[in-house]
Amino acid sequence: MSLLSIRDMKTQIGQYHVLHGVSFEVPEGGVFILLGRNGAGKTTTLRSIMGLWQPSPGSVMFQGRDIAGLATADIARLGIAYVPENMGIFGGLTVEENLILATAKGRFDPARLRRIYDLFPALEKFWTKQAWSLSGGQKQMLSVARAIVEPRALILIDEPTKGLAPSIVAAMGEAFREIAQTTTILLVEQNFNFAKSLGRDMAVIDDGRVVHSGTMADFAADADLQGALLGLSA
Amino acid sequence: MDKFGEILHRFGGVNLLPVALAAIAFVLIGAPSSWVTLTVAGLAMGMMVFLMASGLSLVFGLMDVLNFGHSAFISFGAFIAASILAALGGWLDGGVILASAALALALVGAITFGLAAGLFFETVIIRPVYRDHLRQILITMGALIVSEQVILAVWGGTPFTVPRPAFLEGAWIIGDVSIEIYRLFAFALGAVVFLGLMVLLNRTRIGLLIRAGVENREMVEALGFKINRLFIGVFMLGSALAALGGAMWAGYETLITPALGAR
Repeated sequence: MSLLSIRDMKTQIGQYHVLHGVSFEVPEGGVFILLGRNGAGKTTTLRSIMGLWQPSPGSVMFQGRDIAGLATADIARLGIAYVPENMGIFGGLTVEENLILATAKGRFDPARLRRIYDLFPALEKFWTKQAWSLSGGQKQMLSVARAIVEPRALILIDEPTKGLAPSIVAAMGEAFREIAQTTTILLVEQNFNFAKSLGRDMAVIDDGRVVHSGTMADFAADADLQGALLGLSA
Repeated sequence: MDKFGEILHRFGGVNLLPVALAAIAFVLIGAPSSWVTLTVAGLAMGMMVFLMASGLSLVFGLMDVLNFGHSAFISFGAFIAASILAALGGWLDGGVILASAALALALVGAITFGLAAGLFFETVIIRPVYRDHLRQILITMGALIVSEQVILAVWGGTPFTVPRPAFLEGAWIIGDVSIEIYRLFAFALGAVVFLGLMVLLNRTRIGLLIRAGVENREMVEALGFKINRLFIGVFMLGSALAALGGAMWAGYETLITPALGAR
């Protein structure tokens, strides 16, 4: 059984129909990549899963339960974390406060905290600093760390490498590989090389519909398909 | 510049402003006794305004709600406290304990009303117009007008005399310095509320949520918190603080009219 199964999800924002019937399945474990051109509907898909925009017809099954129509907070409590494109960190709060807010009981599990320090050493260094003073890469690390400070079944991550230096992108890739050992990641990414190095399964979304799904290995080997769906040249 | 900002922040940041103003006033006034008298008077007045305005700031900051009806809570708080004090008029001259009890009941009455009115206001009037500033202005202005008319209907248009406990009357004279006791009380109460709010916002999980909610409501929801409940709580707190400020202001003015809040 899939961890997340989306069937015919349609989302309308104001008067605009953004998703016209998105369907795909995210298997449990590993990194699932959602690819697509700008404006294809990738971010809307993640936000709709998270309940930040309410999808109309269709279903969003998570661990066998339909979560479409649930409040965002209830979806989060089921074990889905969200790392938005803009990182969504609270700049006026310290690194520690940002993380403690994401804990269920207001205190850290020492083992999880150690894991966060190991994955993102900069966060330990800037523990008491206000988050606005962090660099773009450190903010992204904080955003991801917030998603793993508690056990989650699924993490939705939206374009985490955007605007980051190559060294930070590489570190982020390592972190995602480690996180994916225990948690499923649904990753929206424009950086195809980064996505290719991480993903096992994937789907391509275009104009609010899934136009291709399969394994990343097959897609990475088909330059014509990449060109047709993503506009990538060989 | 960043270093200067960091140093300023370490020594109190914006909280240094009143200290700096007091220092400037000391130079301008010249006479130390007049300076102490005026400074205490100014601080007391500032604390009462703080009580009334802090709720407005919380509600605007967290909920992005322009509540023009906030002053209705101030007026109601003033009239409810004044009515309780008037009803318990005999207690006010019956010794410190009875007078204190009357004062406490008046303040608790105002706060309780503020909490209940805040709950009603948020759920019935504000909730349908979230994210729509124009409608917020219109509907809260309307609610303010209705509130003033309700006060007029209940308490009448004649200025209402607010009795004060005897132990808050008069002034302490220390040398050439005269400090009105009621102003000192207002300052102390305001300071306690200020410290309480500081502890709430900076030392509790609720405070952390409020500060996070001010920045990014959506993300707070995505972390698993129902921000609507937080909104209701903050709105009730803001309304209660306004009512408490109104009650204190009523005791300060001793003669109040339905337009007190709007003024």
